[in-house]
Amino acid sequence: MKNLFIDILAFGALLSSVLVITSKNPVIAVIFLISVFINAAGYLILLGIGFIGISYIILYVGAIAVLFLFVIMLLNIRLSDLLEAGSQYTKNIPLAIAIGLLFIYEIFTIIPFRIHDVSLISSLLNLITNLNELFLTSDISTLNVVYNTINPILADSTFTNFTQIQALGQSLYTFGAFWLIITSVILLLAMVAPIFITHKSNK
Amino acid sequence: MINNNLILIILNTLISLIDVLLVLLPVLLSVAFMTIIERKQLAAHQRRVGPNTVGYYGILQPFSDALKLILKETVIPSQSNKILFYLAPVSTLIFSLLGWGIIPFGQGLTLFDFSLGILYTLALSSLGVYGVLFAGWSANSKYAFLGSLRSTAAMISYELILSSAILIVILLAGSFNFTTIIESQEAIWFVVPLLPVFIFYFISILAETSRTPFDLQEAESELVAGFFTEHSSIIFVFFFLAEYSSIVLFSCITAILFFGGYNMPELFVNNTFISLQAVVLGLKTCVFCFMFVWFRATLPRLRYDQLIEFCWLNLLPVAVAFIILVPCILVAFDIAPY
Repeated sequence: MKNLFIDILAFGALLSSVLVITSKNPVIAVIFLISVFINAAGYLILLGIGFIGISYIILYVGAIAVLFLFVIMLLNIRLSDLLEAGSQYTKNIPLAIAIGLLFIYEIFTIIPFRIHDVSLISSLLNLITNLNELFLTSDISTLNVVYNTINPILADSTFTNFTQIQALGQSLYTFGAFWLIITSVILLLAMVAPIFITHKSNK
Repeated sequence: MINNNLILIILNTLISLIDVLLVLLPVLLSVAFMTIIERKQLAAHQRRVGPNTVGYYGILQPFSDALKLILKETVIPSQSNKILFYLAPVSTLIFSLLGWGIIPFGQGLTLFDFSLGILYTLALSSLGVYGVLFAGWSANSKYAFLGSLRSTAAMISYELILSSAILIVILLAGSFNFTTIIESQEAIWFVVPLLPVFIFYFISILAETSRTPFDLQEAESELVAGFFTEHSSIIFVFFFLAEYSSIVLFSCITAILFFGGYNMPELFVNNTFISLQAVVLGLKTCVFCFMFVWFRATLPRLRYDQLIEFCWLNLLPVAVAFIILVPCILVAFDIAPY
């Protein structure tokens, strides 16, 4: 059941990311972008990485997408202008296809690829196993235990649920301490720079 | 063999549905009574009688109001974006009701004892902005749009203060879990060591639920009714319910974070057959609901630039200072809870 939900969420994320590009109205595009974020967050939460999933919602949906929407709504873009600009770019489609093919080639060479990894086939297999679980086994409680031990994702999630933040903090403050300090300095710079730029001197 | 499994699954689903209903129905009832509390209390502040005809002392007034609104005709602007126009109020209501999923009403009396409960609440409160934003944009009306932009700007500004205040509470409790936060207030309520934090926390939740003195989005003298100007009948009821539900929810969260939740001296809360934990939490929540209306009756509305300036120039420096001060004290006296 969980695997089915994960597949649905992954499909939803892909579908809405396609709709972000294809939708004509910029506000609708941002709505689909929010849908991508929420689907990705749900995917992460179902995988058992609840902390990252929720911080995805807080940061991307709660802050970044709101700013996008705000700016787009305030800019008052005319739809007709956008459509004209869009028609100019259609002549570049061959270039886009070439770059896209290069990208796909890269992915296929880097990632080891088997027939079992095709999501459509694996989801079909999952569906069959789910149906088997529903109809053939007699006792659901023993089945859950077996499923827990066989499925590494589920077993991990039941284990990490308790110590997720502690585990993250542990590795962040020991192994990643150096990177943490560098990131914090970069973020501080990013905060100070806009203040400096927008600051009016009283001379 | 087949039936056994299916029946178990269906039973589990039914039981969790009943669980959810057991929380949701009283919450919706309390939201309805919150509206009548507000009207009666405002009337008392202003030396009026208030609603007093429907039911005893007018306590059935909210139900007659809701019935009236439901029976009204739904008017939708012809140039509006219909899907978002309907989706915005529904999403606002859902996000404000989802927050009740992790509230502990007593020891172990909760729908979901989530280890990341605080983060869940913050995520939901940041999602609540979208309903307002889309309602204003989809209605295709200048007043609604201006109202929604104002309200969104205020909400995302004050969310910063809210999350920093909650962060300080987390530092003292050492956990994101609501139950752990309540248990760590057995000795003393967090409002005692964190009184200044509580003050700016309460100011920020007033702005978060957009109540007076921060109800800029429905400044009747400037904008007609703010972001729900064009919404009528049942979809207006959704906005109305969402507003009062978030008031009750935030009162409850205030009681949990700063006033010990269901904690009380052992006379009231113990392991014998008289355990008034849920009642204690309810009473504490009522105090803050009262304060919400009290502020509405007392304070005048701020101007918009004053509102934003107050947040970014006065409250935020104080919040950041406390975020640095509190861990310093915890480390200096070696009293960190972890």
